[in-house]
Amino acid sequence: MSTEQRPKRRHAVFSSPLKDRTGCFSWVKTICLTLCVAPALYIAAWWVAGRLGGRPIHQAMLDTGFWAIRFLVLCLAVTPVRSWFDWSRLIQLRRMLGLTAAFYTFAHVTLYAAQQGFDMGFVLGQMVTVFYLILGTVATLGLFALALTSTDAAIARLGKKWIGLHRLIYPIAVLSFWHFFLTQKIDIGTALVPAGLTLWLLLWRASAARSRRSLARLASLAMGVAVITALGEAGWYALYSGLNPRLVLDANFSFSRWSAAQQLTADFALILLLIAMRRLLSFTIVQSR
Amino acid sequence: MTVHRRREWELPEKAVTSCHLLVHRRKAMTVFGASMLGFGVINEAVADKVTYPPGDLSGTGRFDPGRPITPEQIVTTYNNFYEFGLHKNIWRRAQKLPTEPWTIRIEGEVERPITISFDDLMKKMPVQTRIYRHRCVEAWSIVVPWRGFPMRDLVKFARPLSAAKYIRVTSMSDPKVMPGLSIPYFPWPYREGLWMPEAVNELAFIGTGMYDEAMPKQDGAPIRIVIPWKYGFKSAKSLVKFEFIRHQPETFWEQTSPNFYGFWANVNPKYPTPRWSQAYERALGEGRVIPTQIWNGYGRWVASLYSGMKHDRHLFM
Ligand code: HEM
Repeated sequence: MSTEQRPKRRHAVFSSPLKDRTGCFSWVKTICLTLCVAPALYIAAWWVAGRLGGRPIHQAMLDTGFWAIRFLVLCLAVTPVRSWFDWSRLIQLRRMLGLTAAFYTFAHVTLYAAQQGFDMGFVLGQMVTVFYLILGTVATLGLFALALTSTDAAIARLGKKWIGLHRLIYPIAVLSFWHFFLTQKIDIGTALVPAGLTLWLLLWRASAARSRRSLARLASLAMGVAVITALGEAGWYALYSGLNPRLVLDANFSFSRWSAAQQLTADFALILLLIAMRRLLSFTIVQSR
Repeated sequence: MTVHRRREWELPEKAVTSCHLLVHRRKAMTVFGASMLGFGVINEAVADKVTYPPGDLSGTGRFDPGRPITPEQIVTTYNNFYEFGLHKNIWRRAQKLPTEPWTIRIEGEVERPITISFDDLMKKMPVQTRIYRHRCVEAWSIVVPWRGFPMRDLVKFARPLSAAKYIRVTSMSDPKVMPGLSIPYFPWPYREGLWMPEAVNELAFIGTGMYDEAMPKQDGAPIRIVIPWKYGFKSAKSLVKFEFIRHQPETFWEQTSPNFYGFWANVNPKYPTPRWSQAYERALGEGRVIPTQIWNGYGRWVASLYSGMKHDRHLFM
């Protein structure tokens, strides 16, 4: 890696979140940082304005949990998006996004403890006995471990082992989603959309290197994930509730409300369209040169 | 912010003892944890630590909740009302519900089915205040000063035939203002039901207001039922129909999640849902977790209703 060229100097803990590796101001990083901080400010502002409802701590706990998982997904999306859009500089955002996921997780867990009046005996007891909290706890420990080993110094020190360690992000994501699903009472749609996106990213990664640039391949994976999501949703209701899974499936063909699979399809279509446009554009640029 | 005024039905401070409710945390924790994992039999000794005052049988202390009244601000901003959305922060949206005029249909096994406006019904009913504990199936609870009238007065007014064994209530469903109704696989409209002896029990109440004001929309304006010994989802909101029927009705939650929520839904700390324990509840506004009591502490009034029935999970979910 290009950063390892100056063995004499001690590594800074972090490079500035506003600058790129060469020390120049980076618009991309600055915008990303703003977007990372914005949800926290938004939650805080709503809290102050009394708009978080009757149990603001609880609501803030839920919101930070949701943002933790969103940033986790964004972090996982960096490599695929780099490749799809030939946008290699995006890599400089990955650490920021991962750390942001860890920060929101920290806030989420802290708010959970706050909600219990910081009765740590009770909180820790719950974290190791209640199944969906066990999942969350393991995921949290994993995320913290990755965050702490994200400094330049740690990356340099761990060398090759760093990559192996940071592959833990995949099982952590699985645990986080599992935790998310179990917290949902009846409507799992909110969890299904980010889960479907993540599945898409993972399936793309698992595909053979030569097919990764193929838009058709990406589109067929998207279709597969949309179908899996629809079936998974119906299956969940069939297993966990008395709802008729046929009706749940039928809802995917109605337009009274966006079903999870419909939302995913819209997301996929938008991303595919952007990739196609990007490719077309670079093609014309190359042509005109 | 709520300004706290003492009202005539409110208990004097000293009556609202809370020290006897204190949870023995350590013990509580292990019991809670164990039952969560599914090995759970609740340690009776712990649950017995809390006893709500029976209430003196005359006057204002009759239904003494034994806990402070929950701040109005919580009760009006933390609501389950799935027609308006699947989260708790629906109170703003709920303001769109048109409640004037409001008509109520009474039908089924009655001498004469009628449609009556809410205002006309209110002229016929003896309005009073009841302070009840309200235990949500999601393991939180509040104490609410309701206004309204006993459900038995409504039953009397309806003049049911002897064939009427159950009452089914139906909530308003108005897709124009209720986005939740667009989820097509839920069995809308929201329906709940009671067994006739429950409906005429002294505790069963029809709520038309709270905190000395008309019922807020998010809490079920203009008319709802309030069944304090059952989980909160039984206390259906914004009702448009009371039907007197022969057979046990199917209810919204029973159809949606039959392994979580059933028809009877009587509060009992011993029977966890498949996912969480019912042994304890978070007392909103008090910042603490307290043991849940069987029949939500109202056994004195209602336990005898069920003496002939099998006391198994069926009766308590
Ligand atoms: C010690 C670790 C954790 C604890 C104690 C914890 C606790 C909780 C609790 C109590 C809930 C709410 C359940 C409810 O009342 O509905 C929740 C929801 C949630 N948690 Fe966690 N959590 C932990 C870790 C995580 C992690 C690592 C993530 C993801 C990166 C996460 C994401 C979420 C999400 C997305 C929700 C649902 C929010 C919503 O419904 O909008 N949690 N968590």
